Amino acid sequence: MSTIVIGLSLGMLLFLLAAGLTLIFGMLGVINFAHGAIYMLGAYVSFEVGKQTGSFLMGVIAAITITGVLGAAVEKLSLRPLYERPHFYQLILTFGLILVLSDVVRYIWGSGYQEVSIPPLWNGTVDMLGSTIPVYRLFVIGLGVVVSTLLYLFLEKSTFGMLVRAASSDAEMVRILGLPVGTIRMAVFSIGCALSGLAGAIAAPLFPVELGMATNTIIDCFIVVILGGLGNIRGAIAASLMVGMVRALGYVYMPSWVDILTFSLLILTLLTRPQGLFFRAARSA
Amino acid sequence: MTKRLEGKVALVTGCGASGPGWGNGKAMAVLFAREGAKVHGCDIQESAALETQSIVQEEGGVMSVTACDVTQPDEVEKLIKKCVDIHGGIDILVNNVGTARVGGVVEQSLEEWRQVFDINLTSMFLAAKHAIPYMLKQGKGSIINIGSVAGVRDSGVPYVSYTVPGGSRYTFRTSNTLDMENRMALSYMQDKKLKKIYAVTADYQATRDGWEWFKKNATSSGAQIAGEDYTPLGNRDFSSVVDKIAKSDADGVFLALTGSDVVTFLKQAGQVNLSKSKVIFGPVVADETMAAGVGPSALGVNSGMRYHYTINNAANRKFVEAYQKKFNVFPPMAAGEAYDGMSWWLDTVEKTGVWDKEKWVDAFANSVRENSVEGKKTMRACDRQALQVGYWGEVVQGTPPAPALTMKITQVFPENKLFTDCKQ
Repeated sequence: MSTIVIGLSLGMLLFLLAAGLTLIFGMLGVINFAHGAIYMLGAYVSFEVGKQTGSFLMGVIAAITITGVLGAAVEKLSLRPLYERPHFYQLILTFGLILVLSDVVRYIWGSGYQEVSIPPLWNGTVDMLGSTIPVYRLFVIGLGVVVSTLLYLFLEKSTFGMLVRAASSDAEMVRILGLPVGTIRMAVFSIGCALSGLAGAIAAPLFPVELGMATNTIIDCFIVVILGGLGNIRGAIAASLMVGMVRALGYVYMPSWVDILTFSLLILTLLTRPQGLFFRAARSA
Repeated sequence: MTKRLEGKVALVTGCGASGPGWGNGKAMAVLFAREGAKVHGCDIQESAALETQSIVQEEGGVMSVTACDVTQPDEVEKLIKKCVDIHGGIDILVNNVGTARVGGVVEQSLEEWRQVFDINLTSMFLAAKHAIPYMLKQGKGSIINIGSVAGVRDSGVPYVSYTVPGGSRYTFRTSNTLDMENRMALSYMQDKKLKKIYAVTADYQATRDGWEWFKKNATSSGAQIAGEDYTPLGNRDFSSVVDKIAKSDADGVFLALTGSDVVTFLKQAGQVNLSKSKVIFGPVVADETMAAGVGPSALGVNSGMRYHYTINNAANRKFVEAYQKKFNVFPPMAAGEAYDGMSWWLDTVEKTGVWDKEKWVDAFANSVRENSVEGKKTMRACDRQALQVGYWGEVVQGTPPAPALTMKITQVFPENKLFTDCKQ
């Protein structure tokens, strides 16, 4: 039974990690390779600010803010001229961003491991279903639910969300109606990056904070995004939970097959439903 | 097994493994026997052949062995004859023996070149020469010649990644072997009287072999295995595995993980207080760098150490002082190891007084380092491995100027406890 809780926590963490990537891909059609690097930057910022202020929350807020601002700047300065060009320009740009961010992080913090502890409020364990579960894992599950709900409400129910979707499906028409498509796109990219930064800050107490974070996580995120149907938020949630559950069960019964199971899921999906398991036509959120 | 070789006689050359674990010849001999063949094996090293034989016999198979140098015509002739005498024929000949010397045409000596051809090719010729007459008499027979992919395409990896007897002349290891670290871990387990071990092993060959060795020796000294999990290299989440360990009745956790996997494991294990009820240890799972990444839950973790700044001898004190002056921190494990090997090499080169790399290699292969930063080290020419003492330690709370989490050397193993005789 506890496997379900662990699977849920793995899945929700995956969703948090992949949410930024999904949003940016779904709403802008940009494959943000630098997602992992921004996630790493978020972890390092939360480490540094947490250390300076002694507050985990301050660290999280700083991580969101800095990665959000960085996202806005990157969109405005480098991505904007590339929307009309072939996709590979965006790939090269965001890939270059990984190299730059990695070196910035190495320059500031060095190449060793940094440690972020679980904040005292969430530090503890609960015994449930015969297992000892860290409270922080439950917090991650809760946060995943909150973030996914907010993201859904924002895109589906808010006026700005409607504009985002409109700009995504017919940017020209939105522009003709007198709305600032550029600003909308900048906001979307910024929010996506802030989500990546949030993920980094939340993941920091669970994993070693190190340069390898940038590349370790990105594969998992892409798996979720592809399984869920490119850029589909609800699909991403379902896919995250599915992968989380498969991995949790895999670790219990055959740990050396965990990666193979995960990739089999991906391959099967691509063979049978290449548009993603949760893709629905004419629907982008 | 389907007994597809029932009634056949197979001869496998090089049926012993040159190191611990499995080699191709060993695996083939055992598999042939499982399929019902009567196996005759030979190896230049009789003890290795006998080990394979005992595995086959334990499984109820039939195997006989001979010591044989397959480059010697008379020995090969005798080998084939002995196989026929014992088993009444020869149906399958596996020419498995092979070797490699690294280096291109320019670097390699003619002598080495001839040696390789003698071992790899002439041996096949000789064995076939003497086996084919018997096969002709029977009217059938199979000859299987084992070659290397390196003969078909560039393997990309030159054979220099580790030192073995017969390995590259130009490769030396000046620091710990995984094997000696496993021996220290085993001794620690016994001292701590740990009875049930749960192992978490990175899913790749070196750590798998390490754990197999440990398991064999731990169980024969009375410990039980509570569980074993092989997690992918670069695994990102250990919570399910940690949960399984917590629920098991193991009193010790053996970690054969590397790099950030160790940090991830210890961090996530710490979050459910695994170390409160179980002793966590492993061949190389802790130093200051990793402990800093894990945080306080690294306390109490035990590990083999490749170097430590607290090793108390004049050479190390001098090195630590110079390192601190330059970098303002204590030298980490990797820095000490690197300095140790490089300074040893450079001093040896200096002493030869000539500009001749062959002379340097010869001098290094037989050199003794009385005053290394880790104590006395002796380079063993046969497998190009430094004999040295072994350090075992525990993560403890440090007081400045030491880092907040630091390693404390708890035991120093003499070299005769850590190294077995060189097999040549």
